[in-house]
Amino acid sequence: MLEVNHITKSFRRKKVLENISCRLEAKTYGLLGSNGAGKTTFLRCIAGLYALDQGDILWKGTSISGSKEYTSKIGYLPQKFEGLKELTVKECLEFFGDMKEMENSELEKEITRVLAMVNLEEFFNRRVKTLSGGMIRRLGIAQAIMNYPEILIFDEPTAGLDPEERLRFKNLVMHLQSKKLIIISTHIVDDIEVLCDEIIVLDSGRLLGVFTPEMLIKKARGKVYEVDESELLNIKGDYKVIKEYRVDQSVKIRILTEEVQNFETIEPTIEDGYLWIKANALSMEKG
Amino acid sequence: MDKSKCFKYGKRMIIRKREQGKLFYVPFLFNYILIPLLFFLTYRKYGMGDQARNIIVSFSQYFTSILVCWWIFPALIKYIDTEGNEIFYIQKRMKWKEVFNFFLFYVFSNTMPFIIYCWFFHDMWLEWIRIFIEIMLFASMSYCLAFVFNHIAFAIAAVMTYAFSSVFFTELKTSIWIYYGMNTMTLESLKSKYLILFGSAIVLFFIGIVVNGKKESYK
Repeated sequence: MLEVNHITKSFRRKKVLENISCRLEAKTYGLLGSNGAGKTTFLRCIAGLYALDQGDILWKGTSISGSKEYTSKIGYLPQKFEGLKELTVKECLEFFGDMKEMENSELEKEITRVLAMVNLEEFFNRRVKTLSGGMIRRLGIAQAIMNYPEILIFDEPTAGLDPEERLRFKNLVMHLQSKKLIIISTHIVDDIEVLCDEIIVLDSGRLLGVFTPEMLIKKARGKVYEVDESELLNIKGDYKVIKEYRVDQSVKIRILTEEVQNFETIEPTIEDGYLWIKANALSMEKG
Repeated sequence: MDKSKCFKYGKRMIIRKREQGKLFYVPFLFNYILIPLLFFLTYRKYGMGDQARNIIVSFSQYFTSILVCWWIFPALIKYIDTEGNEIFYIQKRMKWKEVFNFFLFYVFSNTMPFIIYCWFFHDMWLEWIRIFIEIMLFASMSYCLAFVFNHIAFAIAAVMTYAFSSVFFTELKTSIWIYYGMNTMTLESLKSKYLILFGSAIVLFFIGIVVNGKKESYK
């Protein structure tokens, strides 16, 4: 469906993406990477916004370069969506509908449909500047899903949202998942866990791989331990602390290590798998 | 243009207008209230002579032409200065049509008072041509500089610098300054001076199109 072939993108002298290749089908993908990994740049390249230094992106076998047909199939939610503050919710969507070259006759119906999907029907005539941050985010999602796009790109959609809004977003994506290519960029692993069929892992502009959640978990199986704070000195070899948390009166530490320990291993999560892949990025590349 | 396209165009303009809120009406305040009012008061005091004529000429020179930027800069802010503005470049990259629509609407709306002025002063149509060219220049300059600087504040500063330079540095006899003065506009001065500004406006507009095309561009 969407083939990314050896793309490289630099800003001045800094390489932000380096020789990335992958093939994306009509599934939901999570794009995982730490801050500065190149997630937003990768998404913008896919959205046809950036000139590539090298490589190409093909949509159904045709280069997306300058393709109006391709861009008309994209729904995009930027990392920071502000809306158009002086307009009402309806007018704001009319503006985006106009940008997507929708006909007036279908616009009204489409606005009603997308507002119902994001639960904003009752705010139809409210000015954007009076909406809360979560509502503006939902409005951003509404404009992205207008006109039935085949490719949906969400850049950090849950950043700054409260737990309720995050849940709402997850439910919405669940409803959207049919014959669509959805890419959700985030550094919040929880969001990906429930939504995504596959996970694209980026690190420092390089693609570390495209994995299913099960594959990621498998990578870290047998390498994750939960140890008591007092037992830290008994850990053999190098290890990475994933998190520290309090259980009753004691502090537990979740660690990731290649060395077999005398402690009991625990079932890894996607986050553990992601951290293992990041930690082993160099050896994976050499291998 | 068929009916549905006209309707779509009208709706688009209404949305663009509403986007600017109440500030949209500021140019009307100058062109439809302030200048006609001053003209009327001067006429009442001095009669229909040079004083009344000078009021129209000077105030429209100072305000009418540059106020086109009042609509264009706010219209361009969302494309240039807001976070997440890349969203505006995915489906429709070029923004010149929006600027052009504002320009046309501004010219149209400000032609009305001049029709009335022409009724009082027979040579006022030459003033209208001068103002038209200046509006064109300021509109093109705003569009071009907004994308060149990629920052609306810098573009505003540059346009204002140009406008003030034209007012205060008239001793620098350069043909790129806009002419401010009470002298009656003649066809000769229009041809000799304003033709250059007309050409500059077109060049700036095309530079704007090129730079706009490069912003958030794939190629």
